[in-house]
Amino acid sequence: MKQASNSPSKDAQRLMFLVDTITEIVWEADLDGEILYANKNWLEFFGEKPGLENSKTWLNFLYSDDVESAQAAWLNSLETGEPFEAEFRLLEASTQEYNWFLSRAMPYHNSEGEIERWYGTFTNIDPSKQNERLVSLNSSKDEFVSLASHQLRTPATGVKQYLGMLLDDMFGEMTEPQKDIVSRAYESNERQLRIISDLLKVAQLDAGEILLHPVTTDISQLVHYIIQDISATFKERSQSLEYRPFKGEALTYIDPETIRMVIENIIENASKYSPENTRVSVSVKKSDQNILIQVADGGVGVDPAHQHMLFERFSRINNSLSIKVGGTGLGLYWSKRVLDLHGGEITYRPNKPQGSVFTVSLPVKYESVINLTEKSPVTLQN
Amino acid sequence: MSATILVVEDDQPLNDAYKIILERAGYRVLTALNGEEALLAAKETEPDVILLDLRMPVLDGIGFLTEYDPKDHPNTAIVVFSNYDSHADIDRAYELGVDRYILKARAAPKDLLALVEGILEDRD
Repeated sequence: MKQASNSPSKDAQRLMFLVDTITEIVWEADLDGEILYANKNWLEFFGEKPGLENSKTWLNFLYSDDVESAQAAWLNSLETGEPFEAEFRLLEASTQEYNWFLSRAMPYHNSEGEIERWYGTFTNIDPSKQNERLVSLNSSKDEFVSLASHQLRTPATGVKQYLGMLLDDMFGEMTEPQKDIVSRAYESNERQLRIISDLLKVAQLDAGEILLHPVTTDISQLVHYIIQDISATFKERSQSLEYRPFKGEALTYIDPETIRMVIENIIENASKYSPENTRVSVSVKKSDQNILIQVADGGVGVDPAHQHMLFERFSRINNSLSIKVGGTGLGLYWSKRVLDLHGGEITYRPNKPQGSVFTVSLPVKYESVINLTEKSPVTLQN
Repeated sequence: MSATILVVEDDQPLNDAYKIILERAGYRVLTALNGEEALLAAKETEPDVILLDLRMPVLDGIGFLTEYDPKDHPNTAIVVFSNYDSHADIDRAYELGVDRYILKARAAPKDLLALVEGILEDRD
């Protein structure tokens, strides 16, 4: 990199450091348009150090069809001092392909009002680089969501402890109304924690960070344990849970932790979106190719007009129960993505006379099963 | 004699909460706001259980474990108490010899007490 005429001061050093971090190509030219300095993106794109050989002027990298107009505009600016703005194609050294750039340049005036230098930028607007830009934006988004979510977890955890202490009568027995109020606050905070978890799950998924540890798993056993653990929830809501298992092993190659969450999520939804005193049926079936886990309820169902957006991100369909139920609308989206990763599928169809039927499908695996422990098939230690 | 629990947590309100919960249940509680303070505290009094946060300033949880080396302290149970659940962290913590990995956000006061009770029972 060719230095400016004086050795840079500390401020100038800091500025140059900053200029090297941005994604545009930034350059400094003299009154003749000859390049005096450019940030490191110049070398990276043009394959040459700025100010040397071909890089004395950026005109040398122009696509032939664009030379006439770009050159005319640039020379006009140099002559008149008018700010420069144009779009043209420049040659990328590494690919030997031309990329579309938007260029802007401004004259820098000294204290006497005379133009001393030109400062310009090249911004890559080429469609072929669109993906890179989106990926870069996307990962900033994932990092941000992840950071914010983790930060939010801490104070919410604090609230959980303090309200929990009150509810456990650690500071004296509370009156019924007091307990009721504090419980509501506790539940609200729990919901906040669930939302944070959902956000983290999806950010992880988007960032490609979801680590699956697949093992050969018996779905019959997995669902059996899920049903056992979830039955308390159904009792609380005076709902009944009917389970029709597959008689025998139903082996598949999956990450038990994430698939367990998917199935639990669907069964919990069935409970949430059904009124009290109704029944939810869970069944496991197996064909040659697939294992099907079906969850049917007689609840509010999904409006036909909204069925197509069921598995989309953030789609929370308004129905009579959705305000009470809460949630982020990320559960089904996440479930679908996870199943895609496993080579499986999730589908919806309406139940007769009302309600929903969700079917999770996973590919059959022919191999001997790894023993699952009595307590739970899923521990973080595996 | 009641057991000694060392709570290592950089968030002050959370640190206070855990101290209150454990003291009221009759345990002796030492606290530290980062891994370095934790090393000093653990050196002075050998704790029975350490509840260890991971992301902390000065010296983080993994830094503490590396320095402390759980294998040198077979009578001290170490539970990672974190709100981060990255597989990398989990694997590393187990490699370094912790006994359990708990997501803080899932543990209500009674869960914390059940956890500590269970650990002490298993040990004796």
